[in-house]
Amino acid sequence: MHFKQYMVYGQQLYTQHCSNCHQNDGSGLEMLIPPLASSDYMLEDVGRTVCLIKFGLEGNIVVNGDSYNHNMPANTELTDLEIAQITTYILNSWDNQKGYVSVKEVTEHLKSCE
Amino acid sequence: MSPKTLFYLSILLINSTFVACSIDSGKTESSSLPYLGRHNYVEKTINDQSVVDTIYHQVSDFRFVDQDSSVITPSTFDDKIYVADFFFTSCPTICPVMKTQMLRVYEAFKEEDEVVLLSHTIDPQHDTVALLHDYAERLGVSSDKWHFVTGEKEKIYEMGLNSYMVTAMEDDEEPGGFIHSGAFILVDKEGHVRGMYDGTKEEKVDILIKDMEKLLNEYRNKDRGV
Repeated sequence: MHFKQYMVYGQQLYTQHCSNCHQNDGSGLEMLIPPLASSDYMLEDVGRTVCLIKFGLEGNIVVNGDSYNHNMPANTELTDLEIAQITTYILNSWDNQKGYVSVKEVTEHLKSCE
Repeated sequence: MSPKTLFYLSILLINSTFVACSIDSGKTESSSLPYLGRHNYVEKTINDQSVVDTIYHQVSDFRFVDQDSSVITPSTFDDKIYVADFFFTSCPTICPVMKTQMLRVYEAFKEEDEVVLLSHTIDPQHDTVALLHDYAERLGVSSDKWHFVTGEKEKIYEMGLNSYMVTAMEDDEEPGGFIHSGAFILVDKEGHVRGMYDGTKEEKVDILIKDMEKLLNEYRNKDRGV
């Protein structure tokens, strides 16, 4: 039940906050902005993904074997619920199938961000 | 006001200004693109008849450096039409969208020698030649087709304002610390501004691509004496 709802709201939030850079289809921008579609980096550590949505990311990362080095801005204005919805959406779109991420999980993850 | 609202407002303002002053500035052929900007009118006497000549708004002289450290001046664009825009590499808002759309223009005219693209950084302190080089490389575009230029900050802002008629400046209130328009400016071979398009909207960029083809065809017809 929650899952479907999260996917709908998650898509709206994604369009508003993320798609400028990562594109509507999660493909990113050439070698400048990494993809989210089938992204090993994003899928292998949900906690890290939750943290970087909230606090942004600096420095070099390797996604699907390619290195990217473009700062991602923080989104500290997002609530835990909004982050849960976005995370659920990006982890379950464009061939990604990671399953539902709850608010509780997001709140837990955010406690231990580096 | 949010940056988005500001940005759309500026686009709106720009567009309404042009509607007001481009009505009488287009050439008489209905198919040709308008001449945008402030024009001057010069009165001349030919055979005792007084004739009024229109001097169209023209992009002023400039000297910038691109991602290969090549010096870029108006002569770089001799016999070429070009599309200009303003951005900065660390821009968190509309720049990636603009670059996605400019890539479409790049792909559409990749094989066309008479088309060049010109992106000015409005953050020259941060966006060094090396950084612009890396940026262009990561976008996967060729330097002789798409110039990413840097130079004196004041000169870049002045070019935006006076030559291309767009906002581009520092603004602490904005995310990323700068405010700039998302417009793509189409410049013809004579340095006249022939169109302005919202570079964040796919459908506006479709119109730009069509207009560029139209402009190139006009030159071809002229060359053939049609």
